[in-house]
Amino acid sequence: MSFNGKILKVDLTSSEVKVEEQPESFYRRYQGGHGIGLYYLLKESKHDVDALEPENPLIFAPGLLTGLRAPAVPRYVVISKSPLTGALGKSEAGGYWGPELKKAGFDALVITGSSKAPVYLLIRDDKVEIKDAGHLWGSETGPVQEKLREELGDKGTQVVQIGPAGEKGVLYANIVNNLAHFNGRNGLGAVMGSKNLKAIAVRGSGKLKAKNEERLKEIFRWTAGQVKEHPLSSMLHKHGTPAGIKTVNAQGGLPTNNFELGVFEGAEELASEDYSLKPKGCYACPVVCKRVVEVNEDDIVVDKMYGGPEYETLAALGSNCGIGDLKVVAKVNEICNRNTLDTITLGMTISFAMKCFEEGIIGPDDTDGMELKFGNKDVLIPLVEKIIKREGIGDLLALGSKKAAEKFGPESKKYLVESKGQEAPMHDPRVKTGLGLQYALSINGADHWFAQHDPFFAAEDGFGVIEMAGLGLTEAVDPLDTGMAKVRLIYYTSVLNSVYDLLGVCVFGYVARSLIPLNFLLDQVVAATGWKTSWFELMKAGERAMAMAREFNRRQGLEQEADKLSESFYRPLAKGPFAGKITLKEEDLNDAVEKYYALAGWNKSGGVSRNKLEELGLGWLVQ
Amino acid sequence: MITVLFKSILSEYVPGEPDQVELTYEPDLTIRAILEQCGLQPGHIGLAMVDGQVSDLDCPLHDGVTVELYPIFGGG
Ligand code: SF4
Repeated sequence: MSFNGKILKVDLTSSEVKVEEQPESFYRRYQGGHGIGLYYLLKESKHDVDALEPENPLIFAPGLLTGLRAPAVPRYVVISKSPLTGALGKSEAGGYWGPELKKAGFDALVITGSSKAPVYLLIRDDKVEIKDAGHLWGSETGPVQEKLREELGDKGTQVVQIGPAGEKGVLYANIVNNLAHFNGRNGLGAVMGSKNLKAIAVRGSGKLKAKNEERLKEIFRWTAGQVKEHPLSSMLHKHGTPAGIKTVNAQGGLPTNNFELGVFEGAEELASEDYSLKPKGCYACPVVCKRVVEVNEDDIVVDKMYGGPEYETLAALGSNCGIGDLKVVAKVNEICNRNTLDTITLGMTISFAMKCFEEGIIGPDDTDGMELKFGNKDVLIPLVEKIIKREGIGDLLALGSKKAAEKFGPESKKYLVESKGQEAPMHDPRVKTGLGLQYALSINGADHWFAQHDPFFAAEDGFGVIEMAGLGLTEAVDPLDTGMAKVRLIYYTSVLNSVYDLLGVCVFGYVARSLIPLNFLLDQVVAATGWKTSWFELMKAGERAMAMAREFNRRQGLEQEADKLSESFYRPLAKGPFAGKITLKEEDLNDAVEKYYALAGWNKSGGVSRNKLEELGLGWLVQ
Repeated sequence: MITVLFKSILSEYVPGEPDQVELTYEPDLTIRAILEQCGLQPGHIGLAMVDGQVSDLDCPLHDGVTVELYPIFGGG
């Protein structure tokens, strides 16, 4: 089986450690990942909990397939209430930690309470200890991982941890494993910091055994053989996500100067592979697509230990701040990774402050004398250091752009680019409207993997239409459409992506973004569990997890009003092929959101209907 | 003559990996036909431009134009 039937629960206030057993039927219903995470979040959290209170649970849950020797399924989710948004906090990471937790015998780890002094958690199979982390507190991620592995005398120990930004409560601090794999969004590192929990070190000696190992091996071999043949996986393997910069720039959708322009003259340099080394991968994944960068020059040194900037980071800290210097962006990426900062929210918060500075809403008196102008690369590193230390202007910008706007005044709000208080990732809905629906609807604030992306479905012979016809997506949909065809595409693929998260699937391994087809994924679930299951059952499980997430948000007072886009997206781009054209209208987007609710069985206020909850076996959530 | 620029990884689909190919003009030549000649599927293409303007794959090409082809991308 691909699961252990055991959930580890640790209360840091009382130091109590418990193991809860769950039957097979629990996994069939909640699968893994956010299914299990949301089950415990809804059971264990108070309705009006503050994200940084000890009572806010912090849950780590690998996917149903995570830990098997199967391609591109290394993921685990971290679930909690987000301190950045006040909505659900949910962020996925690959790497090595999730598989190790499964090998130690646990399908999830539920942390409640808060320790009085800094601690770390040590899990060695069924031996679980809460250990003093006084000597680690204040240290960056690289030295912490090294010290822990040395102290424990085991280089194979997998460490998930927060850096100084999480300790200091930066509201977009993230969580990292193996120094380069991030639960990047929603500020969950600040929740970990509020619990005085520096790290969780795991070592497992067990081995998950699938019901049909032979079928898993066949699919693994097929994937390994095809990685360099399939155009999408081969592009990821050879060039990584940064290769996208040139396409998006030519399309006119590269976020530039706080999403005002869609093209950037420094795009070629940002996309350069000058400092790239051989890519690295994740547990048992033959795609091997994670970027590694090293710079050894007189003015800048970038340590390869911390990976390298991916597409999102290059755009957020580069073009979106008007900065085309790859070395500087790579350095800031390294600083973020040492200190655990979300590079998307960081870049967007800085670009927002730059826009306010250029518009005269704030001035040098507000910025500790810094000239926060687009393109001023000299301010980037000192500003990020201030944010990590929460000094001066950094203390305010550590709260994200929406809270900074409260201080900057009402004039500034029209320059925000966010949804539910989380800054938009680097995909412009004015060029592909499906991203607008994704940002508005994502339960954890603007998220670019709530569903699949429009370009794969733009033509009948596109990869998305070919690969997902079996789900009922048989027609091409115009990237600028906002009618029912687009709503259906986003609805079906949002449920699909929810299934991906239940299983631990990495989007860079599977269709439509990569090579492994849906029938192979289903075969892997059957091979892993022995269940006579189907895509119907999996999609229902995906819907179930989304319904639980929606219900969590409803309990926080978030309904239809929260499913909106910033007004910035309804203004035309100022440069590029789409300059001056209105391609996304507020009434069309809001209408599409309502249509989505209807397809999902949610009511007009965006809550999940009682019938839908009961259909999904979630009667226990009906009040 | 038609000039075709293969951007980013697309150049790897052209023998010898050039990023620029000159084709003899033929009436009714389309981008789709050029892709077929190079062994590229339409799904590989994220953006096709003719003389700097976005174009669909079936539009007949005029003599002397420059075609730019970019690989598909979505989700970083
Ligand atoms: S596809 Fe890339 S990011 Fe995804 S699991 Fe494999 S190596 Fe990791």
